[in-house]
Amino acid sequence: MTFPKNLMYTKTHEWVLLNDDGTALVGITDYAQDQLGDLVFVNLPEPGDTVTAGESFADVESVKAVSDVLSPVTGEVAEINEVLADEPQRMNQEPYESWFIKVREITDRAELMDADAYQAFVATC
Amino acid sequence: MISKLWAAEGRSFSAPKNLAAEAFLTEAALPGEIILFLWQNEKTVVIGRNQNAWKECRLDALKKDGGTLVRRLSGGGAVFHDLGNLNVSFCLPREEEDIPRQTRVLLSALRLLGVQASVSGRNDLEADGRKFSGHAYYRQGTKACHHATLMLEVDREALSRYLRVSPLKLRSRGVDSVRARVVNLKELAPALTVPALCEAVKQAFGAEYGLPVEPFSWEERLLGAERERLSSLEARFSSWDWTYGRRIAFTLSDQARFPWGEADLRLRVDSGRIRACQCFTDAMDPLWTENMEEALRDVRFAPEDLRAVFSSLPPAVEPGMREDLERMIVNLSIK
Repeated sequence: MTFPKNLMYTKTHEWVLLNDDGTALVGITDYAQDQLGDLVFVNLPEPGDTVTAGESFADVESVKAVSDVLSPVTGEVAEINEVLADEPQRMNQEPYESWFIKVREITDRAELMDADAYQAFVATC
Repeated sequence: MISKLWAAEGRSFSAPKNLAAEAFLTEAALPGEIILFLWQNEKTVVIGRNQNAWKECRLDALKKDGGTLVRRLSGGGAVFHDLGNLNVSFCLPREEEDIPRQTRVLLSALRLLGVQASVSGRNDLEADGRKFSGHAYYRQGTKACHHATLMLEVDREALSRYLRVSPLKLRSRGVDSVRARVVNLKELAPALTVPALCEAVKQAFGAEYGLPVEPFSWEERLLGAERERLSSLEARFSSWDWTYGRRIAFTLSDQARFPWGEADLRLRVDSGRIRACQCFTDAMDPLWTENMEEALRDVRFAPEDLRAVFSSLPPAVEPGMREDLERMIVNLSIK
Protein backbone atom coordinates (compact mmCIF):
# COMPACT_ATOMS: atom_id res chain seq x y z
CA MET A 1 0.00 0.00 0.00
CA THR A 2 1.42 3.38 -0.98
CA PHE A 3 1.09 6.88 0.49
CA PRO A 4 2.59 9.47 -1.90
CA LYS A 5 4.24 12.34 -0.03
CA ASN A 6 2.98 15.06 -2.35
CA LEU A 7 -0.68 14.41 -1.48
CA MET A 8 -2.89 15.28 1.47
CA TYR A 9 -5.48 12.84 2.84
CA THR A 10 -8.85 12.75 4.62
CA LYS A 11 -10.08 10.43 7.34
CA THR A 12 -12.66 9.15 4.85
CA HIS A 13 -9.85 7.97 2.53
CA GLU A 14 -9.82 10.54 -0.24
CA TRP A 15 -6.58 12.11 -1.49
CA VAL A 16 -6.13 15.67 -2.71
CA LEU A 17 -3.29 17.20 -4.71
CA LEU A 18 -3.15 20.93 -4.02
CA ASN A 19 -1.62 22.59 -7.08
CA ASP A 20 0.35 25.87 -7.04
CA ASP A 21 -2.21 27.50 -9.34
CA GLY A 22 -4.93 27.17 -6.69
CA THR A 23 -6.64 24.14 -8.25
CA ALA A 24 -6.81 20.66 -6.75
CA LEU A 25 -7.18 17.09 -7.99
CA VAL A 26 -9.24 14.67 -5.89
CA GLY A 27 -9.40 10.87 -5.84
CA ILE A 28 -9.68 7.88 -3.51
CA THR A 29 -6.70 6.31 -1.78
CA ASP A 30 -5.00 2.97 -2.28
CA TYR A 31 -6.46 1.86 1.07
CA ALA A 32 -9.97 2.89 -0.05
CA GLN A 33 -9.80 0.96 -3.33
CA ASP A 34 -8.39 -2.06 -1.51
CA GLN A 35 -11.24 -2.00 1.02
CA LEU A 36 -13.92 -1.50 -1.63
CA GLY A 37 -12.77 -4.28 -3.94
CA ASP A 38 -13.26 -4.32 -7.71
CA LEU A 39 -14.83 -1.05 -8.79
CA VAL A 40 -17.33 -1.25 -11.64
CA PHE A 41 -18.84 2.22 -11.84
CA VAL A 42 -18.26 5.82 -10.82
CA ASN A 43 -20.85 8.54 -10.83
CA LEU A 44 -19.17 11.94 -11.19
CA PRO A 45 -20.55 15.48 -10.94
CA GLU A 46 -20.50 17.81 -13.94
CA PRO A 47 -18.13 20.69 -14.66
CA GLY A 48 -19.55 23.82 -13.09
CA ASP A 49 -21.08 21.96 -10.14
CA THR A 50 -20.15 23.09 -6.64
CA VAL A 51 -18.52 20.65 -4.23
CA THR A 52 -18.40 21.16 -0.47
CA ALA A 53 -15.68 20.00 1.93
CA GLY A 54 -16.88 16.96 3.87
CA GLU A 55 -19.90 16.37 1.65
CA SER A 56 -20.54 13.73 -1.00
CA PHE A 57 -19.65 14.70 -4.58
CA ALA A 58 -19.48 11.29 -6.26
CA ASP A 59 -20.22 7.64 -5.64
CA VAL A 60 -18.50 4.43 -6.60
CA GLU A 61 -19.86 0.93 -7.00
CA SER A 62 -17.88 -2.17 -6.10
CA VAL A 63 -19.43 -5.63 -5.95
CA LYS A 64 -23.09 -4.67 -5.35
CA ALA A 65 -22.07 -1.95 -2.87
CA VAL A 66 -22.39 1.78 -3.52
CA SER A 67 -20.31 4.13 -1.38
CA ASP A 68 -20.27 7.89 -1.50
CA VAL A 69 -17.05 9.84 -1.91
CA LEU A 70 -16.58 13.03 0.11
CA SER A 71 -14.89 16.15 -1.15
CA PRO A 72 -11.76 17.30 0.71
CA VAL A 73 -12.32 20.88 -0.51
CA THR A 74 -15.04 23.39 -1.26
CA GLY A 75 -14.98 24.83 -4.76
CA GLU A 76 -16.18 24.52 -8.32
CA VAL A 77 -15.67 21.48 -10.54
CA ALA A 78 -13.38 22.56 -13.38
CA GLU A 79 -12.92 19.15 -15.02
CA ILE A 80 -13.98 15.56 -14.56
CA ASN A 81 -11.94 12.50 -15.46
CA GLU A 82 -14.08 10.89 -18.17
CA VAL A 83 -11.61 8.02 -18.51
CA LEU A 84 -12.94 6.55 -15.25
CA ALA A 85 -16.45 6.29 -16.70
CA ASP A 86 -15.18 3.93 -19.40
CA GLU A 87 -12.47 2.21 -17.37
CA PRO A 88 -13.54 2.12 -13.71
CA GLN A 89 -10.95 -0.60 -12.99
CA ARG A 90 -8.28 2.11 -13.19
CA MET A 91 -9.34 3.28 -9.74
CA ASN A 92 -8.12 -0.08 -8.45
CA GLN A 93 -5.04 -0.31 -10.63
CA GLU A 94 -3.68 3.20 -10.21
CA PRO A 95 -5.60 5.01 -7.48
CA TYR A 96 -3.29 8.03 -7.37
CA GLU A 97 -3.41 8.57 -11.15
CA SER A 98 -7.18 8.16 -11.16
CA TRP A 99 -8.29 11.64 -10.20
CA PHE A 100 -12.08 12.07 -10.13
CA ILE A 101 -12.35 15.84 -10.46
CA LYS A 102 -10.27 18.97 -10.74
CA VAL A 103 -11.55 21.73 -8.45
CA ARG A 104 -10.97 25.48 -8.77
CA GLU A 105 -12.03 28.56 -6.80
CA ILE A 106 -11.27 26.70 -3.59
CA THR A 107 -12.64 28.47 -0.51
CA ASP A 108 -12.46 25.80 2.19
CA ARG A 109 -10.82 22.50 3.11
CA ALA A 110 -11.77 19.54 5.25
CA GLU A 111 -9.35 18.43 7.95
CA LEU A 112 -6.39 17.03 5.99
CA MET A 113 -3.44 14.82 6.95
CA ASP A 114 -0.03 14.52 5.35
CA ALA A 115 1.20 11.14 4.11
CA ASP A 116 2.84 10.11 7.40
CA ALA A 117 -0.20 11.03 9.47
CA TYR A 118 -2.52 9.24 7.05
CA GLN A 119 -0.37 6.10 7.05
CA ALA A 120 -0.48 6.09 10.85
CA PHE A 121 -4.26 6.63 10.70
CA VAL A 122 -4.78 3.71 8.28
CA ALA A 123 -2.85 1.47 10.67
CA THR A 124 -5.63 2.06 13.24
CA CYS A 125 -8.51 1.33 10.81
CA MET B 1 -21.12 -1.51 20.20
CA ILE B 2 -24.68 -2.45 19.29
CA SER B 3 -26.97 -1.73 22.22
CA LYS B 4 -30.42 -1.43 20.67
CA LEU B 5 -32.34 -3.48 18.12
CA TRP B 6 -35.51 -2.37 16.39
CA ALA B 7 -37.80 -4.12 13.96
CA ALA B 8 -39.81 -1.95 11.57
CA GLU B 9 -42.48 -3.26 9.25
CA GLY B 10 -43.41 -1.85 5.86
CA ARG B 11 -46.57 0.24 5.79
CA SER B 12 -47.25 -0.17 2.10
CA PHE B 13 -46.59 -2.47 -0.87
CA SER B 14 -45.49 0.48 -2.98
CA ALA B 15 -41.85 0.24 -4.02
CA PRO B 16 -41.07 3.99 -4.07
CA LYS B 17 -42.60 4.33 -0.60
CA ASN B 18 -40.65 1.37 0.71
CA LEU B 19 -37.34 2.54 -0.73
CA ALA B 20 -38.00 5.94 0.84
CA ALA B 21 -38.81 4.32 4.19
CA GLU B 22 -35.61 2.30 4.04
CA ALA B 23 -33.50 5.37 3.21
CA PHE B 24 -35.25 7.22 6.02
CA LEU B 25 -34.53 4.43 8.54
CA THR B 26 -30.90 4.35 7.42
CA GLU B 27 -30.59 8.09 8.03
CA ALA B 28 -32.44 7.72 11.34
CA ALA B 29 -30.32 4.92 12.83
CA LEU B 30 -28.63 6.32 15.95
CA PRO B 31 -25.20 5.27 17.27
CA GLY B 32 -25.43 1.73 18.63
CA GLU B 33 -28.74 0.99 16.88
CA ILE B 34 -29.71 -1.42 14.17
CA ILE B 35 -33.11 -0.99 12.58
CA LEU B 36 -34.29 -4.15 10.86
CA PHE B 37 -36.83 -3.32 8.15
CA LEU B 38 -39.15 -6.01 6.75
CA TRP B 39 -41.06 -5.04 3.63
CA GLN B 40 -42.71 -6.26 0.45
CA ASN B 41 -43.39 -4.72 -2.95
CA GLU B 42 -46.17 -5.42 -5.38
CA LYS B 43 -45.13 -6.36 -8.91
CA THR B 44 -41.95 -4.30 -9.33
CA VAL B 45 -38.71 -4.42 -11.26
CA VAL B 46 -35.92 -3.01 -9.08
CA ILE B 47 -32.76 -1.97 -10.90
CA GLY B 48 -29.39 -1.30 -9.28
CA ARG B 49 -28.17 2.23 -8.63
CA ASN B 50 -26.02 2.36 -11.75
CA GLN B 51 -28.02 0.34 -14.23
CA ASN B 52 -29.60 1.32 -17.49
CA ALA B 53 -33.40 1.09 -17.16
CA TRP B 54 -33.93 0.43 -20.87
CA LYS B 55 -31.33 -2.28 -20.98
CA GLU B 56 -32.55 -4.23 -17.95
CA CYS B 57 -36.32 -4.02 -18.17
CA ARG B 58 -39.00 -4.69 -20.76
CA LEU B 59 -40.87 -1.52 -19.94
CA ASP B 60 -43.90 -2.12 -22.14
CA ALA B 61 -44.56 -5.60 -20.74
CA LEU B 62 -44.20 -4.36 -17.17
CA LYS B 63 -46.42 -1.30 -17.65
CA LYS B 64 -49.07 -3.29 -19.49
CA ASP B 65 -49.41 -5.57 -16.45
CA GLY B 66 -49.60 -2.63 -14.05
CA GLY B 67 -46.06 -3.12 -12.70
CA THR B 68 -43.64 -0.49 -11.47
CA LEU B 69 -39.98 0.16 -12.22
CA VAL B 70 -37.79 1.66 -9.49
CA ARG B 71 -34.11 2.36 -9.00
CA ARG B 72 -32.65 1.47 -5.61
CA LEU B 73 -29.73 3.12 -3.82
CA SER B 74 -27.56 0.03 -3.65
CA GLY B 75 -25.46 -1.48 -6.41
CA GLY B 76 -25.80 -4.70 -8.35
CA GLY B 77 -28.32 -6.03 -10.83
CA ALA B 78 -32.01 -6.02 -11.65
CA VAL B 79 -34.46 -8.12 -9.63
CA PHE B 80 -38.19 -8.74 -9.75
CA HIS B 81 -40.35 -8.40 -6.62
CA ASP B 82 -43.91 -9.41 -5.95
CA LEU B 83 -45.76 -10.39 -2.79
CA GLY B 84 -44.04 -13.78 -2.92
CA ASN B 85 -40.83 -12.03 -1.95
CA LEU B 86 -39.80 -10.62 1.45
CA ASN B 87 -37.19 -7.88 1.72
CA VAL B 88 -35.02 -7.50 4.80
CA SER B 89 -32.89 -4.40 5.43
CA PHE B 90 -30.30 -3.75 8.10
CA CYS B 91 -30.08 0.02 8.66
CA LEU B 92 -27.23 1.06 10.93
CA PRO B 93 -24.24 3.35 11.55
CA ARG B 94 -21.42 2.64 9.14
CA GLU B 95 -18.91 1.86 11.89
CA GLU B 96 -21.19 -0.94 13.12
CA GLU B 97 -21.58 -2.53 9.69
CA ASP B 98 -20.69 -6.22 9.82
CA ILE B 99 -21.90 -7.93 6.66
CA PRO B 100 -20.95 -11.51 7.65
CA ARG B 101 -22.81 -11.09 10.94
CA GLN B 102 -25.88 -9.56 9.28
CA THR B 103 -25.87 -12.36 6.73
CA ARG B 104 -25.65 -14.88 9.58
CA VAL B 105 -28.97 -13.52 10.93
CA LEU B 106 -30.69 -14.65 7.74
CA LEU B 107 -28.90 -18.00 7.63
CA SER B 108 -29.98 -18.66 11.25
CA ALA B 109 -33.56 -17.63 10.52
CA LEU B 110 -33.68 -20.12 7.65
CA ARG B 111 -32.20 -22.84 9.80
CA LEU B 112 -35.01 -22.23 12.32
CA LEU B 113 -37.40 -22.98 9.46
CA GLY B 114 -35.55 -26.09 8.37
CA VAL B 115 -33.73 -24.65 5.33
CA GLN B 116 -29.99 -25.27 5.05
CA ALA B 117 -28.53 -22.37 3.08
CA SER B 118 -25.05 -21.10 2.30
CA VAL B 119 -23.37 -17.93 1.06
CA SER B 120 -22.46 -17.85 -2.64
CA GLY B 121 -19.49 -16.18 -4.30
CA ARG B 122 -21.38 -12.94 -4.84
CA ASN B 123 -22.57 -12.84 -1.22
CA ASP B 124 -26.01 -14.10 -2.14
CA LEU B 125 -27.73 -16.99 -0.36
CA GLU B 126 -28.34 -20.28 -2.07
CA ALA B 127 -29.57 -23.77 -1.34
CA ASP B 128 -28.52 -26.73 -3.48
CA GLY B 129 -26.61 -24.31 -5.70
CA ARG B 130 -29.71 -22.27 -6.49
CA LYS B 131 -30.11 -18.66 -5.37
CA PHE B 132 -33.13 -17.48 -3.38
CA SER B 133 -31.70 -14.33 -1.80
CA GLY B 134 -29.83 -11.41 -3.42
CA HIS B 135 -27.83 -8.98 -1.29
CA ALA B 136 -26.74 -5.40 -1.98
CA TYR B 137 -25.38 -2.48 0.00
CA TYR B 138 -25.05 1.28 0.19
CA ARG B 139 -23.12 3.58 2.44
CA GLN B 140 -23.94 7.23 2.82
CA GLY B 141 -22.16 9.57 5.17
CA THR B 142 -22.02 7.89 8.56
CA LYS B 143 -24.74 5.32 7.77
CA ALA B 144 -24.92 2.00 5.99
CA CYS B 145 -27.67 -0.22 4.65
CA HIS B 146 -27.53 -3.90 3.72
CA HIS B 147 -30.62 -5.35 2.14
CA ALA B 148 -31.62 -8.78 0.94
CA THR B 149 -34.46 -10.31 -1.00
CA LEU B 150 -35.90 -13.64 0.15
CA MET B 151 -37.84 -15.43 -2.57
CA LEU B 152 -40.67 -17.47 -1.08
CA GLU B 153 -42.96 -17.90 -4.02
CA VAL B 154 -42.08 -15.28 -6.59
CA ASP B 155 -43.82 -15.61 -9.95
CA ARG B 156 -40.80 -16.81 -11.90
CA GLU B 157 -42.56 -16.61 -15.21
CA ALA B 158 -43.25 -12.90 -14.59
CA LEU B 159 -39.62 -12.46 -13.63
CA SER B 160 -38.46 -13.67 -17.01
CA ARG B 161 -41.16 -11.66 -18.76
CA TYR B 162 -40.00 -8.30 -17.37
CA LEU B 163 -36.26 -8.72 -16.98
CA ARG B 164 -34.35 -8.48 -20.19
CA VAL B 165 -31.82 -11.16 -20.92
CA SER B 166 -30.09 -10.08 -24.10
CA PRO B 167 -30.74 -6.45 -24.91
CA LEU B 168 -30.90 -5.75 -28.59
CA LYS B 169 -29.30 -2.88 -30.40
CA LEU B 170 -28.14 -1.18 -27.23
CA ARG B 171 -24.66 -0.30 -26.01
CA SER B 172 -24.41 1.25 -22.60
CA ARG B 173 -22.22 2.25 -19.72
CA GLY B 174 -23.35 1.14 -16.30
CA VAL B 175 -23.51 -2.08 -14.38
CA ASP B 176 -24.72 -5.33 -15.93
CA SER B 177 -26.91 -7.89 -14.19
CA VAL B 178 -25.49 -11.30 -13.38
CA ARG B 179 -27.94 -14.10 -14.01
CA ALA B 180 -28.23 -16.98 -11.57
CA ARG B 181 -30.31 -20.11 -11.26
CA VAL B 182 -33.00 -19.29 -8.75
CA VAL B 183 -35.26 -21.27 -6.44
CA ASN B 184 -38.30 -20.31 -4.35
CA LEU B 185 -38.01 -21.19 -0.66
CA LYS B 186 -41.46 -22.79 -0.81
CA GLU B 187 -39.98 -25.45 -3.05
CA LEU B 188 -37.59 -26.31 -0.22
CA ALA B 189 -40.00 -25.81 2.70
CA PRO B 190 -43.60 -26.02 1.42
CA ALA B 191 -45.22 -24.85 4.68
CA LEU B 192 -43.27 -21.58 4.77
CA THR B 193 -45.24 -18.30 4.91
CA VAL B 194 -44.21 -14.63 4.89
CA PRO B 195 -45.34 -14.02 8.52
CA ALA B 196 -43.42 -17.11 9.71
CA LEU B 197 -40.30 -15.92 7.89
CA CYS B 198 -40.64 -12.43 9.43
CA GLU B 199 -40.88 -13.96 12.90
CA ALA B 200 -37.87 -16.20 12.33
CA VAL B 201 -35.77 -13.28 11.06
CA LYS B 202 -36.64 -11.19 14.13
CA GLN B 203 -35.89 -14.09 16.44
CA ALA B 204 -32.52 -14.80 14.79
CA PHE B 205 -31.72 -11.07 14.82
CA GLY B 206 -32.18 -10.88 18.61
CA ALA B 207 -30.25 -14.09 19.15
CA GLU B 208 -27.28 -13.00 17.01
CA TYR B 209 -26.80 -9.76 18.97
CA GLY B 210 -28.03 -11.10 22.31
CA LEU B 211 -30.52 -8.26 22.72
CA PRO B 212 -34.29 -7.87 22.77
CA VAL B 213 -35.89 -6.70 19.51
CA GLU B 214 -38.31 -3.86 20.02
CA PRO B 215 -41.04 -2.86 17.57
CA PHE B 216 -40.08 0.35 15.81
CA SER B 217 -42.71 3.01 16.22
CA TRP B 218 -43.18 5.07 13.06
CA GLU B 219 -45.43 7.48 14.96
CA GLU B 220 -42.73 8.32 17.53
CA ARG B 221 -39.97 8.79 14.96
CA LEU B 222 -42.01 10.63 12.34
CA LEU B 223 -42.39 14.09 13.76
CA GLY B 224 -42.44 17.40 11.85
CA ALA B 225 -39.13 17.54 9.97
CA GLU B 226 -38.86 13.74 9.72
CA ARG B 227 -42.26 13.54 8.09
CA GLU B 228 -41.15 16.08 5.49
CA ARG B 229 -37.90 14.20 4.93
CA LEU B 230 -39.82 11.00 4.27
CA SER B 231 -42.12 12.76 1.80
CA SER B 232 -39.19 14.22 -0.10
CA LEU B 233 -37.55 10.77 -0.27
CA GLU B 234 -40.81 9.32 -1.61
CA ALA B 235 -40.92 12.04 -4.27
CA ARG B 236 -37.35 11.23 -5.25
CA PHE B 237 -37.92 7.48 -5.64
CA SER B 238 -41.12 8.04 -7.68
CA SER B 239 -39.52 10.62 -9.96
CA TRP B 240 -38.73 10.06 -13.62
CA ASP B 241 -35.36 11.75 -13.19
CA TRP B 242 -34.19 9.32 -10.50
CA THR B 243 -35.41 6.18 -12.25
CA TYR B 244 -34.57 7.03 -15.85
CA GLY B 245 -32.56 10.24 -15.81
CA ARG B 246 -29.32 9.09 -14.23
CA ARG B 247 -26.10 9.94 -16.03
CA ILE B 248 -25.65 6.62 -17.80
CA ALA B 249 -24.92 7.17 -21.47
CA PHE B 250 -25.95 4.69 -24.14
CA THR B 251 -26.47 4.35 -27.86
CA LEU B 252 -29.19 2.54 -29.73
CA SER B 253 -29.53 1.69 -33.36
CA ASP B 254 -32.25 0.15 -35.45
CA GLN B 255 -32.95 -0.47 -39.11
CA ALA B 256 -36.29 -1.08 -40.82
CA ARG B 257 -37.80 -1.27 -44.28
CA PHE B 258 -41.07 0.54 -44.93
CA PRO B 259 -43.28 0.95 -48.05
CA TRP B 260 -41.72 4.38 -48.61
CA GLY B 261 -38.11 3.22 -48.16
CA GLU B 262 -35.51 2.17 -45.63
CA ALA B 263 -34.60 3.86 -42.37
CA ASP B 264 -31.39 3.51 -40.37
CA LEU B 265 -31.71 5.16 -37.01
CA ARG B 266 -29.06 5.93 -34.40
CA LEU B 267 -29.71 7.51 -31.03
CA ARG B 268 -27.39 8.65 -28.27
CA VAL B 269 -29.11 9.00 -24.91
CA ASP B 270 -27.67 10.40 -21.67
CA SER B 271 -29.40 11.36 -18.42
CA GLY B 272 -32.51 9.80 -19.96
CA ARG B 273 -32.61 12.35 -22.77
CA ILE B 274 -31.84 12.04 -26.47
CA ARG B 275 -28.59 13.91 -27.03
CA ALA B 276 -28.21 13.07 -30.69
CA CYS B 277 -30.41 11.47 -33.32
CA GLN B 278 -29.26 10.44 -36.79
CA CYS B 279 -31.73 9.05 -39.24
CA PHE B 280 -30.59 7.90 -42.68
CA THR B 281 -33.37 7.24 -45.17
CA ASP B 282 -33.67 6.98 -48.91
CA ALA B 283 -36.82 9.11 -48.75
CA MET B 284 -37.34 12.11 -51.03
CA ASP B 285 -37.32 14.75 -48.36
CA PRO B 286 -34.04 14.95 -46.40
CA LEU B 287 -35.11 18.20 -44.77
CA TRP B 288 -37.95 16.45 -42.99
CA THR B 289 -35.66 13.95 -41.25
CA GLU B 290 -33.23 16.76 -40.38
CA ASN B 291 -36.13 18.56 -38.76
CA MET B 292 -37.04 15.44 -36.85
CA GLU B 293 -33.46 14.93 -35.63
CA GLU B 294 -33.40 18.52 -34.40
CA ALA B 295 -36.81 18.27 -32.72
CA LEU B 296 -35.80 15.14 -30.79
CA ARG B 297 -32.69 16.65 -29.23
CA ASP B 298 -32.84 16.82 -25.41
CA VAL B 299 -36.28 15.23 -25.36
CA ARG B 300 -36.89 12.65 -22.64
CA PHE B 301 -36.59 9.12 -23.99
CA ALA B 302 -40.12 8.30 -22.88
CA PRO B 303 -43.05 7.31 -25.13
CA GLU B 304 -45.33 10.21 -24.19
CA ASP B 305 -42.62 12.82 -24.76
CA LEU B 306 -41.60 11.25 -28.07
CA ARG B 307 -45.19 11.12 -29.30
CA ALA B 308 -45.62 14.78 -28.41
CA VAL B 309 -42.63 15.67 -30.60
CA PHE B 310 -43.97 13.74 -33.57
CA SER B 311 -47.42 15.26 -33.27
CA SER B 312 -45.75 18.69 -33.51
CA LEU B 313 -43.99 17.76 -36.78
CA PRO B 314 -45.71 18.25 -40.13
CA PRO B 315 -46.48 15.09 -42.15
CA ALA B 316 -43.64 13.98 -44.42
CA VAL B 317 -43.93 13.94 -48.22
CA GLU B 318 -43.94 10.12 -48.19
CA PRO B 319 -47.28 8.86 -46.87
CA GLY B 320 -46.85 7.07 -43.54
CA MET B 321 -43.22 8.04 -43.02
CA ARG B 322 -43.83 10.25 -39.98
CA GLU B 323 -45.99 7.56 -38.38
CA ASP B 324 -43.53 4.76 -39.16
CA LEU B 325 -40.56 6.64 -37.71
CA GLU B 326 -42.60 7.60 -34.68
CA ARG B 327 -43.49 3.97 -34.03
CA MET B 328 -39.88 2.90 -34.56
CA ILE B 329 -38.52 5.38 -32.01
CA VAL B 330 -41.31 4.93 -29.48
CA ASN B 331 -40.79 1.17 -29.63
CA LEU B 332 -37.09 1.58 -28.94
CA SER B 333 -38.00 3.47 -25.76
CA ILE B 334 -40.25 0.75 -24.33
CA LYS B 335 -39.44 -2.62 -25.87
